[in-house]
Amino acid sequence: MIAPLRIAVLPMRPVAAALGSRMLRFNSTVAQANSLNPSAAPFKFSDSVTVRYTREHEWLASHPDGTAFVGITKYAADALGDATFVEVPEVGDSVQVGDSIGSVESVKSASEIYTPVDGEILEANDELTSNPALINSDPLGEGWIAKLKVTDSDQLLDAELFDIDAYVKFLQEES
Amino acid sequence: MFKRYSTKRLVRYISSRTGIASDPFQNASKRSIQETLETDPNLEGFLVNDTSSQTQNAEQENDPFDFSDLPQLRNIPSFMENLEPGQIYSKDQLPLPSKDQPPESKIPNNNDIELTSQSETQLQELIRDYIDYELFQEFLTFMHYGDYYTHPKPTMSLTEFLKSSTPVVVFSKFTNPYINLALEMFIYDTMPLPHQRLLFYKNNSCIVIGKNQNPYKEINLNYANTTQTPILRRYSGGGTVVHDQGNLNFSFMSTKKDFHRTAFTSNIISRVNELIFKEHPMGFTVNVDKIEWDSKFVGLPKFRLSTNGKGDIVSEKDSYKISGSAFKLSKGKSLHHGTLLMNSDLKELGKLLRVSEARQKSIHFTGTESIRSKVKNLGIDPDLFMFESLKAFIEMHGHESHAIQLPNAFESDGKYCRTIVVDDLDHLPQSVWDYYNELKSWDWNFGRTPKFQHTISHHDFECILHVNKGMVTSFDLNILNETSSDFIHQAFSSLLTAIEKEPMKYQGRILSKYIQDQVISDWLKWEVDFGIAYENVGCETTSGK
Repeated sequence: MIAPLRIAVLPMRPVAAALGSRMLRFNSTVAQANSLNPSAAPFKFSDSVTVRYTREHEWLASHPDGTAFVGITKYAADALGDATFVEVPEVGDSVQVGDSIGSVESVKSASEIYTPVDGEILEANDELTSNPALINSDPLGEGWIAKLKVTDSDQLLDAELFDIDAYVKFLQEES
Repeated sequence: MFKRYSTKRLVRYISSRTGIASDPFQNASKRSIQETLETDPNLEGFLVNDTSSQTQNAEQENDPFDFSDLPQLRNIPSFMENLEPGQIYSKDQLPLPSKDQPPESKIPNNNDIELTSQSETQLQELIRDYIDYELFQEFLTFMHYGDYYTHPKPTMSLTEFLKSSTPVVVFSKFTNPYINLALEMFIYDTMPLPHQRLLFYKNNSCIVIGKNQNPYKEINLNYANTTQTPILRRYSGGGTVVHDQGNLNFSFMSTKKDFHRTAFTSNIISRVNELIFKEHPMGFTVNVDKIEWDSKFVGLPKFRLSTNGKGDIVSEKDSYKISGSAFKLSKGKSLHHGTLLMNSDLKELGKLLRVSEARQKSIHFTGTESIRSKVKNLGIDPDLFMFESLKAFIEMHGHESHAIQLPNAFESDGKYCRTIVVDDLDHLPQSVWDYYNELKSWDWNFGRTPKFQHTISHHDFECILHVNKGMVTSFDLNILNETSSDFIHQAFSSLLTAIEKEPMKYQGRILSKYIQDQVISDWLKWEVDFGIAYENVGCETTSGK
């Protein structure tokens, strides 16, 4: 009984408002898809996690003690397609902003992954080496790539790093 | 010894070629075909009942090298006459690929004879229409006689040229695979965004594996060692390919944003497909593979092409692979390269990549594995392919502005793009040599192999070698027959202690040195990597350990 009513009402709403709400819904789906999986290590590591995104579609989940997780976004994982191999960094390596910390191979393309901050690699997700599909199924959770010690916490405030809203907006402009 | 051809026979032959939709003879009656043939100026003196030339030919009957009774185009197209010797692009003047097909016998047999009733003008028009012959001649001069004659020498260095904010097409004249792969990466690194680059190169025989592949599993190392075929690991993903002078490599670089697996190839494919005259709507029925101007000048594609979702170029009809594709994405840039089979030695290719099933099974590897595909040569002339690709590139990315006309601009349909032939080692900057050295190193080509386990079995025992980054990190020895247990333990003891102390390079020659028993030592050497000398496959091994 309710459904026909809704149909009758819809055309009467201003077009702009309808479009706006659709856009909002789109935004919230994209934002949700690109948010951390709350049941995986990058989120659970501490009580307060800050997530930032890069133009190269990496995410950085930083915790108060200076530990941060890096991975690729859902958008990037979808764009790459099924991963056949994930290269992870070497534990103990010191890396600087823009250094490659690994790569993903999918459908014959090798894509580099870069670190958004300076740091030292504390741990690499070795699970990815044997199960590369994780990066497609849970890129913002179990598919994290590296855990690092952030050496310069000021870099986390860099304007080049987006919060989720800015990242969603960036995605819209990109496409 | 010379056959004379009856008109009837030719009529039959031509009528049999009804596959071509617009065959000019298709709708004609037998009678009119016969008339057409008999009055065709190209066939004068060719037919049995043509008396005018019989007396003349009688005198020459004893000359085995006289083929004057074969049909020829009476009038040589004027564009061929006007060319000066130096300008003519003839296969004879160019260095032929070493593994080229043996020169085909020029004695045409019955089946080779193709006829045309088309006039010379039509032929000429066709060529002009479809190959853009004048521009092609200019391109050939540019490619083979140095760009200095027609284009001024660039006043800037190669690095500056490659840094210019315009689309650039680079033709590498080097045939050393290390230099070409290094140059490719250098061009990729120096390309400013958002611009495009297109590079062409041909390599001497070599094997190129994908970034995350395992050469021990992909390559017949023993054969590569024997034939001294270099093995290189490239920087893009994908599977293993064999290069030789019969294949042409293209490399298209663009922005990450514009990255598309088939965008570039589909444009080229549609152009190449247009070159198949046989299917041309004008009904040009001459078999272009055989007629004289073709064999002397340019080879045309043998069949129609298509693309698959993975970006490969395949034959349209039977999906044989003509070119694989591999991609690299980094920092806003994308690279798409492929190896186009023109006239490759496919037998050799098969031999180099044949790995026994037992060996493949014995290596447990989670990295990228090649998908073996049936391959076929396209037969197109590399120059013609490059020319068509260049035009496709200009059409897609060329600038209309005159500002980039110089230096070394190439124009097609009012659009310009810069082109350069790289043929001087002195012009290569240090960064190219840095890549070169990496590509030459064992640590990159073999040592960079993702983690794998190699299980090698003997009847009495089996060894499991855990290899990470080219180093044996641990070695499991499982005794299957207890009676020889002591002997085997003793034979392997030094090796086991050595590996425990420090990871060792995964090389048969190194590992086998630690085995006391000669027979087991030789067995291990062979099982690991056939005991090959890595210098033979082009690798520089710096340290012994």
